Amino acid sequence: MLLKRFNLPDLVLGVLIIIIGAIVFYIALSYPPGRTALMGPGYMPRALGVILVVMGGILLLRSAVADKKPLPQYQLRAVASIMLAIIVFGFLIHRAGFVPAVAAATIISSFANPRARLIPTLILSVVLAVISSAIFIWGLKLNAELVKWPNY
Amino acid sequence: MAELLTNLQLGFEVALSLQGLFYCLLGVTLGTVVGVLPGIGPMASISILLPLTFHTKPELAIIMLAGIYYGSAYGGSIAGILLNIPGTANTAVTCLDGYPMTKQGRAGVALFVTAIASFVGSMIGLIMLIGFAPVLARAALIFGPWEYFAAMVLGLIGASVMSSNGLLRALIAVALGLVLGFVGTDVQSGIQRFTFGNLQLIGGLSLIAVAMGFFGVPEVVANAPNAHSHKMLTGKVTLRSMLPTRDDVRRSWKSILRGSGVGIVLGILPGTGGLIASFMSYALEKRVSKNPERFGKGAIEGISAPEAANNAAIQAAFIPTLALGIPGDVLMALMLGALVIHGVTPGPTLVTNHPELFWGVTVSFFIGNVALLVLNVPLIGLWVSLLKIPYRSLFPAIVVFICVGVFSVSSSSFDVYLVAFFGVAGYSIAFLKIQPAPLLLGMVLGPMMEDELRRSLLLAHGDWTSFLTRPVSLSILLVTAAILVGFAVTNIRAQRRAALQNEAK
Repeated sequence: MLLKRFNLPDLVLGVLIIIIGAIVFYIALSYPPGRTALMGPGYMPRALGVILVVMGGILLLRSAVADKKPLPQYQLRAVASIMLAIIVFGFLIHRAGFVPAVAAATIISSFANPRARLIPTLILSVVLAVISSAIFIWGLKLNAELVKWPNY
Repeated sequence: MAELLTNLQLGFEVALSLQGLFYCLLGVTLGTVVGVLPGIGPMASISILLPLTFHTKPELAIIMLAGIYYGSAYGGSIAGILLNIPGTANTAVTCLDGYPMTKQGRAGVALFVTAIASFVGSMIGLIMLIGFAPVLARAALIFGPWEYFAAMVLGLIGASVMSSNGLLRALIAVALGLVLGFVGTDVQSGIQRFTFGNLQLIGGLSLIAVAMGFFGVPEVVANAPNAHSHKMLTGKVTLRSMLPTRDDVRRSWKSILRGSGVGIVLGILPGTGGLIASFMSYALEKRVSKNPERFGKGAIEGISAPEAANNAAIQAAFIPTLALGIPGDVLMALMLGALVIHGVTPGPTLVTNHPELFWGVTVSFFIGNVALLVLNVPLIGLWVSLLKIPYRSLFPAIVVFICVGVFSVSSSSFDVYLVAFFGVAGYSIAFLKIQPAPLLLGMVLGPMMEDELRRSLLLAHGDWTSFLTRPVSLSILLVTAAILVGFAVTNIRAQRRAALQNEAK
């Protein structure tokens, strides 16, 4: 495929940076730039947007002339599991309490390991819930409720 | 001289107080424990343990943080030497000759020399700190916004030049960091930038959340899929096996001194610090050695010099951080952030207005290093046994500690969501070979730089040449230019050499 002639990490990164730079510039347009002697909030962000686009462009050019390189493996399952685990923690800690949040985070993040098994993971979630409750809530007086029982 | 003694006395009072000692030892111990654990490098350890320091007074927090750093650096070295797990640049260098030594059965010696080299390096750096920081602080009183801006530019360029994935990528990282730094309320105009109407972002992005997301999460994501095949330790390390031979001592003491020298120079320059010093010192040792082919196969200078350099650099990096308020490297940026959260603004006024903080912290560095030496040599068996915890049980625990840690700082779920977002972002850009360290440095320095730049241009009525007409600012910028030129020249020479070698084949 034609794309394989490029240095892919550089190519992908270059495109990404150009897009990010363009977005930054676009958002920065809504803040007043002021003048050099009296810089407004929009001045530096616009400058950075431009700089990012330029750097992305350089990368893009480089990707055409540099050694061809493929992309390394992107661990999608691991990323998704851990990201979900963290989000669920943030969601549960206020609504269900500390213990459910820790347990859920443990179980969900274990999906990042394709060879994880159910029973050891469940045991680990209990152990972690106990240990972290001891350290953070009892030891460090963390401001969180252990478990929030639903109001009947 | 008498003034120095009174200051040191003040420092000892703070550091040797019961609380000071406790937090110092706690930091060192926690740091070593977390640092030893495979899959967590010093930066990740500090990000994870940072929230714990917010529960106390600023001077105790910094004492604990410093202890955490030494501990985790040493813990990381232990993991590197015994298991060939490179957590960061520092440990990567240690692995090069440390792991071969383990295979030769000389792990004990490697660990012992590491501890000694770290101690000596720190002491030398500490002497620099004691000597220079107050001097620099006094000199900095003549610094105007032009000088501060120039110094920060030096810091960012310095950090970018030393980055291992190339200058362009490091600069991109810095630029991204600067953009992240814009998020929040603009100090001069009161206008909210990049907040998308979100109330939680008015104060800016939480430094902890971003640090955890960029340093802690990507390591876990990268290592978790292999959790079952993560290397495990076999064999034992005894106390007796740790004593070095006379030959070892002869070879290492000079390298320790050279390493410390490299470390001090790189540490004082804003933007470069311990992470870089190790590489440079290893390269220096190889060039200076009479038999460079020994390197990579268990040469003791290959671990003693980088360790000394790393520790000397850390101490020296505190000089610009505490005296100027400009972080020496990413680690210092985190410490700076921690100080600011405590309501202490580092800078020239720190040394004079908060002497108990500065000198207390300085003395506790000394105590921390002694503690590291005293604790770690006998307890080496304990740390080694920690390496036996299987990673498949460990990584969910890391995720949990990251979540709880971030939550404990602000009790805000939003910050936790930020970690998830930056975790994905962090892994993705690491995947594209962009390093998080310059990014975080950019994020911390960005608002400060913008502030100083605005002020300088306001005072100079929009005249950019004011940076070049002021002598101090000009000299700082010249140093920056020299670094860039030096980098370009080395690059070109290396390319030319490679091309010649290709032709010769």
